[in-house]
Amino acid sequence: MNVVVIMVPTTGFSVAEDDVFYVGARRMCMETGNLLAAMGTFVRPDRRRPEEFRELGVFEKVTDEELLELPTVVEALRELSQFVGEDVVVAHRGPMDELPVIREKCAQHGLVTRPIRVLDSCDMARRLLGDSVSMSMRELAVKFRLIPKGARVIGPVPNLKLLGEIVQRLWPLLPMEHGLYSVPYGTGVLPAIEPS
Amino acid sequence: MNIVVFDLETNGAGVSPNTESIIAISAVKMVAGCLTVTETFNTLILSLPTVPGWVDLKQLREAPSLKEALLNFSRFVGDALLIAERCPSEKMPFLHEASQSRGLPMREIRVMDSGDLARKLWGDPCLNSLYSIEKKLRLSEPPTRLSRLAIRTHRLGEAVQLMWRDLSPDFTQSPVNTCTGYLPDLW
Repeated sequence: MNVVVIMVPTTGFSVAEDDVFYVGARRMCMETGNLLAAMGTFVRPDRRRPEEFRELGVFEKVTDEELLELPTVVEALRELSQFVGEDVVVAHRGPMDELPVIREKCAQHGLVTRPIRVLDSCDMARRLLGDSVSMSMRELAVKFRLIPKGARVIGPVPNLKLLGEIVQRLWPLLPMEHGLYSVPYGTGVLPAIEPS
Repeated sequence: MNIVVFDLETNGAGVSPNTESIIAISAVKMVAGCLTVTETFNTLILSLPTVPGWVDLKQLREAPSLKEALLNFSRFVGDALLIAERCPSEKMPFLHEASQSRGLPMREIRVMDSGDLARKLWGDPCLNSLYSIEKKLRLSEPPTRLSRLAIRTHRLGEAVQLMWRDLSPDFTQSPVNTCTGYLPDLW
């Protein structure tokens, strides 16, 4: 089974007001643990001005001209949708983080959407470690000895790679029930794939 | 502009719409910038794998199913703007997932994060929770006969009322951007 681990960070807490600044994904084979393909792109500011991005610590060293050369959020989400195809998406706290943001960005830009199936890596961790556990990616990475205690992983690119490694560690440990993995899927949307 | 401020409770930590069930919904209506006393919505929801200690088992036996409760809530909201703490990213995914898994057709509504009002009012990008907003506002005590969830919703309603009034006193237009949300269709 292949899954696509995604990361779509934004500039703040607000789904309505904040911007996506990166869209990245890694397709992995869960049986072998191999990375099959990867995509990732920084994204041009959508609602906020470039100065606001810099005040928030995003794109501090990037000029306005360089920002304008980045893909728009619509282009980046369409690329993500193409990349995901029919595979299952995995995101950390995705149902309450990436997916509401993607749903809203599609609505803001009037994009036609398609449904996707989503697993939350946080649900996987809770299934293994106890229902009351709500582990951050950093806590899980320390638990699996992917990073030393106290270390910080900064930036979306290394964080996406780290999430992929966490999912690779979690997956073989998940108990099977009636031949199925015992973590329920959720639903989300991505832009509909346009026929080529 | 009609506004509905709401909160919900799940049978878990409120962190996973895929694995937790909604067990209670509470909402208050604001009309022309005023919290209404009579137009409130409070429901417990039947069919619980685990029941938290605060739930009154006698009331629970008479509670509607989740499907009925979602439809009742959608009816209560009508075409009002829906506001909650972290509404688009935390509350709506629970309502959306619960509605979808019960095969309910959906309709679009407008939703707002109460944190967006706070962040705009005080210019602090880290303001997010009702707790941090309450620290900034002096809220009156809600009636003591309300349940814990209803008290929390009442407090949020008051906070929204005060923040909105400071940002846009006439209550005719939203002082911050709203998002698209989904509730069960009523037809």
